[in-house]
Amino acid sequence: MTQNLAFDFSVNKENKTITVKREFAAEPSLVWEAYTNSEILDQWWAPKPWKARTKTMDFREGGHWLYAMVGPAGEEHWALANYKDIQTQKKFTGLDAFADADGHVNIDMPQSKWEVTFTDKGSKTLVELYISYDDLAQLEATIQMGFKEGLSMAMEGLDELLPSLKK
Amino acid sequence: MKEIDYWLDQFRKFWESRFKQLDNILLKLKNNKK
Repeated sequence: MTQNLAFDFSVNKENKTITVKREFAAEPSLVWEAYTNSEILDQWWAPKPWKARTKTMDFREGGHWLYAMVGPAGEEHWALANYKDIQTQKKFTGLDAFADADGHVNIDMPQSKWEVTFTDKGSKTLVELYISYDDLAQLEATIQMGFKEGLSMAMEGLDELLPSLKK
Repeated sequence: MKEIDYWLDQFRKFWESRFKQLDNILLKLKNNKK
């Protein structure tokens, strides 16, 4: 069963900010769990056939999430998210960076600041993400680093999925 | 700038795909709670 779930993606090039808004057909506690529990994150964070694989996660202020995006040929792109402010089931902020498997940040690669808010909409939850970069060109570099192939494959997967969703 | 626009469009689609998977996960979690 599918529902009409709002999705909005906008870019403010002056502020170098990307805003993503999406509703989910579940209560905030469940959506919060999906964003903050590594076992669940690993199941949806990477578009198929890529997979997310958590090495370590410590979801608390000052904690981190070290994970790899693993491609179909076994290629790995490691990332480190450092959590800053956390308001349970309401909001969290953090800094996302490319890293190696030991969590050493690659300072030559772009970093982004994240703010994720969760708003109770009755039976739905609105998630708003604000992602800011020092330079918008960094976003292009980010995507070129690892998402291009995974994205095109994911789109093929989505094409296959859409007919069944329409039934 | 056109290249940036292209990549932004790809990034938007990337998020769409990611959220579709989250929809499915949430459905499973809801069913497990019942």
